[in-house]
Order: sequence, then structure tokens, then C-alpha cells
Amino acid sequence: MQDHQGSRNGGGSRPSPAAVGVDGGSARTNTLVSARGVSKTYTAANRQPVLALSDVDLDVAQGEIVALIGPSGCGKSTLLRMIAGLDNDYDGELSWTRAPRPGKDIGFVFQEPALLPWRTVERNVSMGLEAQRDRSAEGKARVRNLLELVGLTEFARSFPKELSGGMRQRAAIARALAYDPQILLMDEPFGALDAITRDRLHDDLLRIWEQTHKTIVLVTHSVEEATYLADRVAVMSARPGRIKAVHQVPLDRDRTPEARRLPQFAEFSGMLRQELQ
Amino acid sequence: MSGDTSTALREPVPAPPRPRPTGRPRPAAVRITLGVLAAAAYLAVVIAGWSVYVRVADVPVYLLPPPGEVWDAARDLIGNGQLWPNLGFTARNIALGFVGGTLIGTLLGWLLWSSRWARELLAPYIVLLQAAPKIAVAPLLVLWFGLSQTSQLVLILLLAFFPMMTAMLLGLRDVPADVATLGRLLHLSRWQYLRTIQLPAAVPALLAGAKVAVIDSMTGAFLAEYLSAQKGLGYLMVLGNTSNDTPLLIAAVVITVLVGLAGFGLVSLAERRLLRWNR
Repeated sequence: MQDHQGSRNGGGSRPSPAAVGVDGGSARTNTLVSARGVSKTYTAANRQPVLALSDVDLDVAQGEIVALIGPSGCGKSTLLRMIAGLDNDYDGELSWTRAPRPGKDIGFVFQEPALLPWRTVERNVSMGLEAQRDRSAEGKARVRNLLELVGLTEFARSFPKELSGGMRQRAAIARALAYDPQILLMDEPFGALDAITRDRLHDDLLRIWEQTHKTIVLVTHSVEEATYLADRVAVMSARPGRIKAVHQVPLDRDRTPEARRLPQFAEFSGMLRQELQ
Repeated sequence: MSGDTSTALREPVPAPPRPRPTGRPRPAAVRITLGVLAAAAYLAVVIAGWSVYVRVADVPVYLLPPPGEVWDAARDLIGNGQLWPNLGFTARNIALGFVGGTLIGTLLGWLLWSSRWARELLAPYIVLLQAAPKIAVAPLLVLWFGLSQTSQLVLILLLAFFPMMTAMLLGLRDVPADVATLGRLLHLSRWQYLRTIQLPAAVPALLAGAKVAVIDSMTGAFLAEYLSAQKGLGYLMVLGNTSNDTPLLIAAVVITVLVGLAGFGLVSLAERRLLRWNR
């Protein structure tokens, strides 16, 4: 059905689907969320049932960055929305080590910034805190810190209209993190940006991870993006959407733009590209 | 059309400068000054044309009095203390009707948006109600509610709520899907979602609706007074008409226009303040 493959210990030696995520041989064995046999069928416009996701198993460990990559229509965004609790209509099981508290534990970044244009950057970022009526000093400090981390301190009182696309997306990331969620879910967050801005935001995200060690699940269609950012990459295939393989990225966690020029980088992303075909 | 009215708006009040948001660049001030000058020039041309026509064509006063007589009639209204009570009465009716219509319309719009039941149950009848000519409904209201302020207010509300309801429905549709999802992720309560996302998102549409609603409120107020009141600007028009006092009639019409423009101007001012983020 599915061949899971941790490239370090060799997926072939562990045929059980439960082995996914415990692979890699690293210390990251504390699973935050795991999907077991998750499937989703929806009824298309012509009343035909369509299998959007088929028997997906995936473990996401605490503090790791997992990229979901695949062709369009493979259900990667659907899977992300399920993890976010936005789509509860599926078969199978999605289990959390610590159940996410509503409104507090899911940070979500969309492809578009989806900022509220009538709010300043600062008030956009503190939306989540406001929703929880959190007026604590820590909350405010976190907002300040995040704005600084994404380089928007000087634009705290600007309106989204006054920002560039990259700055808006930075604000959206800060907004998703401001209430200190357990997990950061990103749905093609850099897809709408130009290449230079995208590279900068990649480094911003890695810097944010350095500081926060957030668990991140990132949906992308770019093999380079997946390679540069992720600890593990889950390759999905379409119709029905399923996980073809899960690969450990053969790079250190400390990644700088130079990492893009390493032979392992090219080799790994080439392998991903091959697998997508 | 709206451009016309907004420039014309400045003609009645040349003296007090309009309050301006602080820190606006000078070109805006220059633009406003030019606007006022242009409006004044317009007014001068219209008045000049009017008085020349009346004199040259020798129009009888009961058909079209010269501007001077209308001016005198207006001054008489102020002088004999008739203007302020009547103006106040009408202005209060317009304000009450507009505010009430805005509240009801916004609420109804939200209700129709949030409940399919409400939509299917109410929407067709609301449209039917709107399709009925108000001038025909007005006597019925008088019949039901008497020659009271209630029947007047009901008529104004009937006119004012509809544009607000339509605007609210449009505005709520303007909430992008991602923002709606964000509301779910942040677990906003219905009220929080309405307050922090839906209402602000609908503000541009609501303001556009309010411009229509304020004029509609005015129409409603005059219609009501025309039909039933013993007071108000509409009553002054009736008085001018029935007593063959054409200068009074025209003066009342002009004052009415000024009231309408003032209402429109207030909404535009609110728009400038509320949509600052959009500039």
C-alpha cells in the first residue's frame, strides 16, 4: 500500500506503518501528533465519490519541521486542514499527545497573508491574544519580540496596505505565533512571493524556529523549499492522495544559504523531484 | 451624480472650515478650497441665470419668484421663529429614522446572512415590501398608526433599512475565505467574529448603503410630513403650496435640500474617518 522510508534506518526493514516518525534515529521521538489510516472521501459535483486522501499515516514529532510535498490535488492541504481541526469529516484517527486547546494551539499561515486591512500590523499580530482576552505582559512581550524577529518593529503601526508582500507574509507568520501555539501549520506560505523574497522568508522562518523550536508542518510544492526548511519530507501522490514516502533531509539543522549549494542539497532535492514524477 | 451633490454640499456652509483629520498634506486643503470655490461659482451662475430669466421672461411670482423673494421668505422663516422648530422636528425624525433603519437593516442583513432559514423565510417578503410604492403605503400607515409620529417613523424606517440590509449582505460576502478560517482557528465567538471581523469588513459597503439610507430617510420624513404632520419642513412646503406662497414653498425646498446634503456630508465625513486604513 504505502512504502514509508526513513532514509537513515531504511524504511524497508520496518514494514509496519507505525514505524513512520519514529525513524530517523534522532532524539526526536516524542510525537506531538500522529495520523493513522486517515482517509477522506468527498462527493464531487457530478455526485461521484472521490477519494481525496487514502490511508495516510504520519507522525510529527515535537519541535520538528515536516514538509508535505506533492502535486496539486494530492490532498496535502486537506491533511493540513485536518490537523488544524478545520476539517473533521474523515475516517481514521488523528491523535495528539496533548490535545490542542481551541483557539490557542494551532498557528496557521495561509498562502495569502489574510491580514485585516483595517488593523495595524501590531493589532493584526495580537489578534489571537485579543480573542483570548489575554492582556498579559508576556503576551505583549511576545508580540514585540515576534515583530522584531520578523523585522517589522518599525512598521508596527502601519496598515497592511503600506507593506510589501513579503512584509505582509512576515506579519502573518508573527500573527500565527503570537499566542504561542503548539504547532505552526503553513499552507504554501511562500507560494505567492517572488524568489528573492521567498529565500529571505525561508531564513526568517529558520531563525524563528531557532528561537521558538516550534513544531512546523509546511505544505509546499517546491522541492528546494522542502529540502531547505524541513527535517523530514513527506512525499505525496495524487488520486488518491496518499503518502508515498517520508524522507529524512540529510542536512544539519543549522542551515544557512550556503546549504543550498551543498551536493547533498542538490542530490536530495533531485531525488524528491524524481519521486514526484 | 454623487460628485454633484458632494460639491454642492459645500455651498451652504462656506464660512466654517470643515474639520479635517490631523496631519493631512496641504494638497488636500488646496483641493477642498478649490472645491468650495467651484461650488460657489456654480451657485452664483445658477442664481444669476434664475434671476435673469425671471426678469427677462417676466415670470409671475406665483410660478417662479426671483431668488431675492425666496431669500426673503427664508429670512422671514427665521425671523418669525418658524424655521427652527420645524427644522428641528424634521431633523430629529430623519436622525431617528436613519439610526433606527441602520440598526434594523444591519441586524437583518446579518440575520439573513447567518441563517438559511431566515433567508428563505424573509428575503422574498422583504423585497416585496420594498417593491410596494411608499407613497401608497404611507396613507395606510396613517390609517394604522394615526396622525402620530409613530406612523412617520415607521415610514422612514421602512425606507431606510433596505439599503442598509443590502449593504450588510454585500459587506459580509466581502470577508475573504482565509479570514473566515482565521476566525475559526482563533475560536472566535459569534459576537467576537461579528465585532472584530464581519462588521469592520462590511464598513465600506455599509457606508455606501448609509449614503443611500440618509437620503431615503429624508425622503421618508418629507413624505410623512407632507401627508400627515402639523409640523416640520414638509409641513412648511404644504403650507407654502396651499397658501399660494410660492417663495415660501421654494425656500422650504431649498432648506430641505440643505438638510439632505448635510446628512450626506455627515456620512461622507464618517467615511473619511472610518476608512482611513484604505487611503
